[in-house]
Amino acid sequence: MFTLTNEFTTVTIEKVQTRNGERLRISAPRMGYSVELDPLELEALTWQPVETFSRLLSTPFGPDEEGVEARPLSDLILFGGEHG
Amino acid sequence: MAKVKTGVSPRLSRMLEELQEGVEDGLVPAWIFNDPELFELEKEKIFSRSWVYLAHESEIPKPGDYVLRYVLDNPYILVRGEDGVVRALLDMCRHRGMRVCRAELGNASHFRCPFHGWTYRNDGRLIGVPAEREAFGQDFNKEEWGLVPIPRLEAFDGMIFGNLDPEAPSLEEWLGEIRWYLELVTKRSPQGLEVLGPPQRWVVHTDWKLALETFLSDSYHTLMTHRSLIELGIAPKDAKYAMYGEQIHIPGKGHGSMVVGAPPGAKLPPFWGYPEEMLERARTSYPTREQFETARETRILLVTLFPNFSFHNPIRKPDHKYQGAVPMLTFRVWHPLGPGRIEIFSWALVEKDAPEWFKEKTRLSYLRFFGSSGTFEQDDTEIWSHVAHNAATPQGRHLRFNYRMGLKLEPDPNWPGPGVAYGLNFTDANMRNFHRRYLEMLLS
Repeated sequence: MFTLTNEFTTVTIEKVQTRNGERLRISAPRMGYSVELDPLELEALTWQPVETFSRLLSTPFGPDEEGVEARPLSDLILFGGEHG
Repeated sequence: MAKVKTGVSPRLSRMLEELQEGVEDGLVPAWIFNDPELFELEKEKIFSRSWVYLAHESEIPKPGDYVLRYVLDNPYILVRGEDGVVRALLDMCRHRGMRVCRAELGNASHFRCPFHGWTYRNDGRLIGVPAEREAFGQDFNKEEWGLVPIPRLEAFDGMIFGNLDPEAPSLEEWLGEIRWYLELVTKRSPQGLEVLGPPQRWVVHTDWKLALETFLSDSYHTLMTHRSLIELGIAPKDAKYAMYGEQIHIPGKGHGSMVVGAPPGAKLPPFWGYPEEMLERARTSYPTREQFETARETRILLVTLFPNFSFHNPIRKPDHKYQGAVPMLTFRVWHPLGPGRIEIFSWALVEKDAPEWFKEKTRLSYLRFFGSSGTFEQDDTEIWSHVAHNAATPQGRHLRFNYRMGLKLEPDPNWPGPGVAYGLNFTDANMRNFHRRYLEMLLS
């Protein structure tokens, strides 16, 4: 395992074995994310332009949940509602 | 020259008139080397409108490479984008102004603000905003919120300069005829220069003009300030060694150079002592024969660009045991931090195609003599700090300094390079030229 770090983040990289082959595990310990890429996925990375990664970083702290509507606190304060 | 304008306080106006009256007669008031009100005017009139040296391109050779550099107190990320283009981006998040990059150098494809997580490509484009839709709505346009580039960015032979003034003249026009002297190092080899590591940096309690003048015109100080090195046998025996040269200034620009040859009778190798193979390459890499012939006779070369960049390229005996002489090249920025306070940025450089043994020798020579550990540097900075202190004392600030050295000298008609040259390096001609330009900018 080795670690790559800069002023923005730290990731660890390790080769992991499955019963029948190997993958590369890339983990972001501070963010709690991890991905295991097979050789074909890694190969596909080699022709990605920086735009791909900019698109991935459009949500800088990991994926935002789709379809979640911001819900005002006032929705939960049921004046005269079921708890009234 | 323009008269002092209104808008400046009566106090500062009187002081500038004093400088204006004295400069042609070689009298420079001490107070200009440590005064808070003058420093504010210098920030506005000089450093906000001048081409300021930022970096050498060899500091950021690959996509994503960046260094942080400063124009006044504005931090700029000088970064080579994934597209290979060098940009200088103000290190200030467009959301709330936090620094998005706090390491002084590194390699990154993106910068992420530690305050709210706004994330930028290394070409400055904003590409990531946490909870973008919920926080800023559907019509938020990230294209309007990229990092702000420096208004002007231009390069000359690998030397990258920035300017805060969008209306400034081009770098080429700014440099003018001093290019001939810059090229004595930038075109010494067809491959050009590379830095030997990041710059050393340290803070000195002095004024940027005081530091600068040592490299612009003051060969006279080596007699005394650096006498210990003569006594140690690692500088030429003749204490007046820096006198035997030409001092050249570029009228109207403020730039100057000192080109020093071997003292009479001294057995110093030609061409600074660079290896023979480099001398041979220089025959064809210099744009003109005059530059090659000048370079062959040069043992010490200094160039200072207005306002605050200098380089120094001396021949040196690296220690008392080494039999040869080794040249070294240092670039430096006299970065103003405040009245009577500067940060020195000091780089060592060498020709890219120099032999490896030579690169190592020249690096060691630089470390011994210049940079934060350098003997010459420690001699100088100790003295500069006391001058700046005295320049701010109640009695001392009313004195005038003597800049009359060489006032009666006639220009040397035989000098092959451009500019106004004097055949004796013990003169304050370059400083008087600097102060003319300095006043012109302060008063415009």
